[in-house]
Amino acid sequence: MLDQAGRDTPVLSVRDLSISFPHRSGRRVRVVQGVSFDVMAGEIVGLVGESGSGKSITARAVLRLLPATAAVSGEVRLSGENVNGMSERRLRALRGSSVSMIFQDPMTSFDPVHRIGAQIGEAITVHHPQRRSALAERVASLLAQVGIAPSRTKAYPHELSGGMRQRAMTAMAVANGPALMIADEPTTALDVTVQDQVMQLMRELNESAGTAILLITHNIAVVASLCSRLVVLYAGRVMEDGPTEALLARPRHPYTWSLLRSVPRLDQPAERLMAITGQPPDPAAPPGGCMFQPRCPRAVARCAEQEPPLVAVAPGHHARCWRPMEEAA
Amino acid sequence: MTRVIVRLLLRRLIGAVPLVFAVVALTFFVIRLAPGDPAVILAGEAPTPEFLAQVRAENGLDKPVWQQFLTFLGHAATGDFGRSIYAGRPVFDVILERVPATALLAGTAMLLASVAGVLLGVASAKRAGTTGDAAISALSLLGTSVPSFWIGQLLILLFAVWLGWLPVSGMVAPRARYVGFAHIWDVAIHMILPVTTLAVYLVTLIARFTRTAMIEAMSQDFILVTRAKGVSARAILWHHAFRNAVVTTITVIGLEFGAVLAGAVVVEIVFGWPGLGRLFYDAIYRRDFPLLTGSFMFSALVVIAMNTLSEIACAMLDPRLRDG
Amino acid sequence: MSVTIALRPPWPRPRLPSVATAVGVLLTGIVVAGAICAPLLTSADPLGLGGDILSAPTRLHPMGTDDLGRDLFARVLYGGRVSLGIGLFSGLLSVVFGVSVGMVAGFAGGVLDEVLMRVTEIFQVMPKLLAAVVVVSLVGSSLTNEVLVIGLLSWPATARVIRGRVQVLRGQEFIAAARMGGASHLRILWRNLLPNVFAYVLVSTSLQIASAIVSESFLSFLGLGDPGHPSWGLLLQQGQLFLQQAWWLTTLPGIALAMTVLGMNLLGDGLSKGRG
Repeated sequence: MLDQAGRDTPVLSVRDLSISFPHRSGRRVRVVQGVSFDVMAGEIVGLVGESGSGKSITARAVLRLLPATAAVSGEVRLSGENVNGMSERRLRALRGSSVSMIFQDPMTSFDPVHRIGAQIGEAITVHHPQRRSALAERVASLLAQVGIAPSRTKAYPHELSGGMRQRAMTAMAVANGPALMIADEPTTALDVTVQDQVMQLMRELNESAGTAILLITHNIAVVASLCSRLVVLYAGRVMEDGPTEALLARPRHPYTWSLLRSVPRLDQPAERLMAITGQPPDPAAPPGGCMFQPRCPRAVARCAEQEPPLVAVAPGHHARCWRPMEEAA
Repeated sequence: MTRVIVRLLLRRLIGAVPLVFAVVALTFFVIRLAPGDPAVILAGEAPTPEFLAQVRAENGLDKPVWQQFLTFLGHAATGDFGRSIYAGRPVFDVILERVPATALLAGTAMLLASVAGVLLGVASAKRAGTTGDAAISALSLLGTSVPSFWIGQLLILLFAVWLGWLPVSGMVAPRARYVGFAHIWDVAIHMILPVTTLAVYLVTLIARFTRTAMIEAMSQDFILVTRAKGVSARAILWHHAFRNAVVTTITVIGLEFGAVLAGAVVVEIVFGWPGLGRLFYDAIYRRDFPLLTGSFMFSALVVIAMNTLSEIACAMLDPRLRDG
Repeated sequence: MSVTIALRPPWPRPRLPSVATAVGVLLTGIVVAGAICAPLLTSADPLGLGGDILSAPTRLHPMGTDDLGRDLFARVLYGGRVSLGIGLFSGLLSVVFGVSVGMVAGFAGGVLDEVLMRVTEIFQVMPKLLAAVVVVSLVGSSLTNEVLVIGLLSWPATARVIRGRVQVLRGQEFIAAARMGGASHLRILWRNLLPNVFAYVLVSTSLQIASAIVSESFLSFLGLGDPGHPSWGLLLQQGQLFLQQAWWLTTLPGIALAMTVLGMNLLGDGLSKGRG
């Protein structure tokens, strides 16, 4: 059920989160470093970054779904409760009930040998055991809510289309009325028209049930219209965060600016599109100074020497840059 | 649902027809192509000329080959695999008498091996990469490496000859003539070593394949999704990971049933167990070729049946295997 | 290559695979060396009768003697030549056959693939060892017959693996390039595909030799071995008769057999892991 604490306590509060993995060289590699952000009740926040930026790892850390080899430090609070240090039992009670997740690939997200309805039903009964008839009714109404005919509850995952599967996945994620839903690249594997449907569905869920959503994506344009705030991640660090309008209209970090340039937008002529040159850094061999410096068109000597801190550039708007941009995008 | 199962059954059964045909044809041509007169082979060692003539007439060996083949097929279809030279009775009857003893041995071994193999494989997969996993893997490899009759011999040396805890061989204590529960107990005692011997290979094989399939299943995205739903680790392991891996386990059991029968042959010899394997062995020694080829055909048909059964089971367990 | 952080949990392989491979090499090496150097290691004749009957291991007979007074140590060493020889030749035969069928089926596709795979399936489902027993008892037991029968009954596994690999490779650019260059099918199979599946061929060979040695011991145990060339299986068959009197007759040849097969299996496993 929806969190009662109201708008003052964030449903999700991440503070100084760092995650490292063992590397074959024997050293540990930091893939997330000092990440902090909040998601307020009923809010939609976008976590944006290229693949390898640490955004999916961060999302998994929220429910402690990382492999055992991961070392996690910092704090993740769900409605004020610290996730690290929580008992496995308490954690399980949270997973899928007050916080749920949607994953990228709808092809592989369902267990192929169980029926769709049974898998959605499992998500409910784990937390709220109930009679079969009541459960069947609940599952059918959840599927109806995402536009799938109740007769499809008996279908196996491979009998549904990718878009249908992702909608079924969404139905499963909202089954217990979560306060927060984490959607990790929910539309990446779908074609464009289906992407729109799924995004629309997210918006409706947010508006009707007040579910807060952490939307993880590499495509800033797709989520821009949906999110009230954006957090831009690069090489495991928050490069910039702030209200969506401010960030889109006046990106302060050159990386955000490049990201906006690299995606097609309806309000700009196509020839201004440009790709970001170079590759994201190898987390096993990070560059000195700012992580973005090797690819940054505005880099100066200082950028390679010292990593800039994340500082406020406007109320509620932060950037990690020695030379934040001033001009409008 | 029942319609789906009936359709499935039919399709798999029809799929087995060419296999059955191939086995019967192979048996026929092996006998035909063997050096020497097939009548001599069918009649066994040192036959009288009268008997030879009789065999020739009985088997239609004076007719063209294709006609002989059709006759052979027709007979095989009705379960007529010829007459045993030694027993002087239809091969099929001689074989059927021995089925219960082998079924008891092989069935018990398969049942125990499946349970133990699955438990070991799952335990190993759960600890993938640890010393415990490496130990189970090494033992599994050892178990699949040594011939089962040698394991039987070692078990006899250890438990029967040195420790004297269990009987050396046989199915019942000689001359004891137990009845009722005492008889069951007697057979059970005699079963321990042969069943263990026969099970070792299967346990290790099932453990190896189950481990690989479990590791594969546990690395799938849906396992993460299921964890994110708040499902317990135990339910994930069995209800999701194993439920996916079990198809591999069943396929392996089906495919290896031939090896189980072959294993039963040697185990029955080592332990003097009065089953099909012992019959097979005696047939080799007595040059009782009708009995030998008959037992082979019978075993091959049983193997094909087990295989078809395992395919049906897999299709029932994994909806993706139901079409095509 | 930069690290790609595994979103899937990185399942580690069992620890120390290289140690397992080394053990495999060692075990196989000891047995092969023993078989090759048999005349240097013992002066006893494996077939020569002696007065010392069913003697437990002594200094004179390090592995004891059998019921005819023959030296078991010599019999195990020379038996290794028979078992390893049959294993090697039937293993190679099955791999050559299996690789040929697998490559042609995988490369040709279509009807030919369908037919070859049906045949493979028939051989795979057929109880191989029982079929071998029937055939050998019909055609007579000799080393050549054993090699032929075992080799020709055990190729399906190799064929399936190789076919799967070739199907993957077939669609790749270098094959298309070779085709554009006008290379014949045979040339593509030989020059382009075979080198690319060679790692699998090696693994198959190792596993098939191991399996052939076990198959041979099975035939010999059923009395279908060549009594003039006693293999380990034949020694075990004789040991069975004296199980209660002479433990060494079953235990010691069995250990040699187990060492070899385990060694070859470890080697095969090691090769297949090193491939990735």
